Amino acid sequence: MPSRLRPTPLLLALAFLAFLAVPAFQDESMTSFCFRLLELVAMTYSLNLITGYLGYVDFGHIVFYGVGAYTTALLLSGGVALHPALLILPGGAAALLFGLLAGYPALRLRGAYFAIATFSINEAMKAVVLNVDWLGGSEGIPLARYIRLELTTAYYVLLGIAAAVAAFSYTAVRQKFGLGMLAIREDEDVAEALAIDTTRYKLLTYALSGAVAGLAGGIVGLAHVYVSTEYFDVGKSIEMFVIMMLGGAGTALGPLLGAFLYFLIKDFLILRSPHLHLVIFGLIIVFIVLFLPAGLVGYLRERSGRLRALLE
Amino acid sequence: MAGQAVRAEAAGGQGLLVLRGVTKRFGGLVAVQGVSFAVAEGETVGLIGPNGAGKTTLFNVITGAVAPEGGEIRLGGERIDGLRPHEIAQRGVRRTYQIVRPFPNLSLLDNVLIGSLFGGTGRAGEAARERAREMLAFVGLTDKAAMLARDLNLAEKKKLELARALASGPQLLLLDEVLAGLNPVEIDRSLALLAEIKGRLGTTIVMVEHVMRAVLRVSDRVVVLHQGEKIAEGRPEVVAGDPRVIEAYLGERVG
Repeated sequence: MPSRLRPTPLLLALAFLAFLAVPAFQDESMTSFCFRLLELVAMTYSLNLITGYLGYVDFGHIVFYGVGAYTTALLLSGGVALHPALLILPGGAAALLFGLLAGYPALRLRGAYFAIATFSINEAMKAVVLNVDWLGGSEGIPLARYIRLELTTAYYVLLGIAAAVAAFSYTAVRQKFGLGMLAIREDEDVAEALAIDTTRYKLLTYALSGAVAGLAGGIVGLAHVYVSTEYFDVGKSIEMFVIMMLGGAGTALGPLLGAFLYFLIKDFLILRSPHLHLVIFGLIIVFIVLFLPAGLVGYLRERSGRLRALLE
Repeated sequence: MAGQAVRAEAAGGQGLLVLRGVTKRFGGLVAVQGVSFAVAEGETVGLIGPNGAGKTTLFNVITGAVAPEGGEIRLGGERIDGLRPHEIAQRGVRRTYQIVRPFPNLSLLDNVLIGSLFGGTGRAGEAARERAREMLAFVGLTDKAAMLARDLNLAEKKKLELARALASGPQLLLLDEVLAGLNPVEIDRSLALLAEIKGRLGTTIVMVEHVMRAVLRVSDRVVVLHQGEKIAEGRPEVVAGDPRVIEAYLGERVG
């Protein structure tokens, strides 16, 4: 096949290069805004792996974020002296392990039952953290004593995580692992009958997407020098879902595009109608689910075979 | 009955696929009862019987989708009953579905590519892609390779499933009514395709089929199931004249 221009990796590269340039403007509020944006980008890409590509709706995805943040925070407050960028690695590893342990029973369930199980897993973890003293209980774990992390440093680390998971999403679907995920999403029994070890694939995807969320949780916790049960807030899970639906689940551009759109719409609405913005936002979501169930990228892909080859 | 069992036993000695006394119940309903037969390498066996005879259930048991309650199933001498479906598929068993199940939101190429990437003879990278294109060409869907599977018509979906099943170069191919719902022209085309799979690829085939003309033309041997039990087995033209088979399909002659 002749090599053609591929707009998807180009757009991804441009967007992440733009993110890379942000701290150079030395504008604290702008960097902080983009940090929040990147956090949602990374988290949505992570959710997109398990829900968009594998087809398992994970309402409790935020649990990985919490596990990562708490592991990192506990190590730091426990006196582990490491560069903060390295300190998040055990957070990611803990999230990975948590994914393997929780996923093993949970992934036996399918459809709505799995979604409910993930929701419960998150609520259970939240309850544990709230009630165990050495986990900080309801007061959380303040970290300002142990660390002073430049926002710029945290920003670059988060950017690295987001870019890596985006690149993985783009390349995976052209390879065995990604196609295996898609096959399971499309028809798990048929995938199994085509010699795909579905149990292994599901578990790996769940744990891997969890690890990404764990790393993100770790770096955000360090940047805010404080972790609390807010890190298990299911509201954030829903936010990720909205972004994924907006952009297009199961696409490599969707989470990035969705996050931009989400921020755009949200800020616009807050400015224009501070009292009704959530109501209007809800209506927009209903509209998307009804008329654009595949999201923006998905909608464009469905329009024509040409667009499908261009947007991934 | 006893004589038949002995013959099946004798045939069971060799053969790529050997079933011995396979039984499957769903609650009180006996779907498959003590079925034994063997399929030799390179052979095409037609599996026929009225609706509810247990044909599809037998496929589900062979592929591991449901576990049998009794009996044993051997593939190339190795017992495969009790293995998980992907493990059985790993050993070179592929199937198509009575109600087609292509991956609807993936391109035709990706559908077949998945077939060629996984399994015992799985290929990697460009070789797998090349194989997928070959198989699409084999079933005549090359110009639709970039389309989504859900946009195909029934005949095309059936061909796509066939290409996906063949992509890994299976030892044993189980075809569940690949001709059902097709018009006469499409049936002729599909029959030509089956003849080629048999002739050119040398694949061992077990096919469930209601289109008798097709069964008689393609099968080397026919196994007849009725209410979960094997009632006849033999050369197609002989079996088609067997009074028990006629009775099972048409009922008893009155008066």
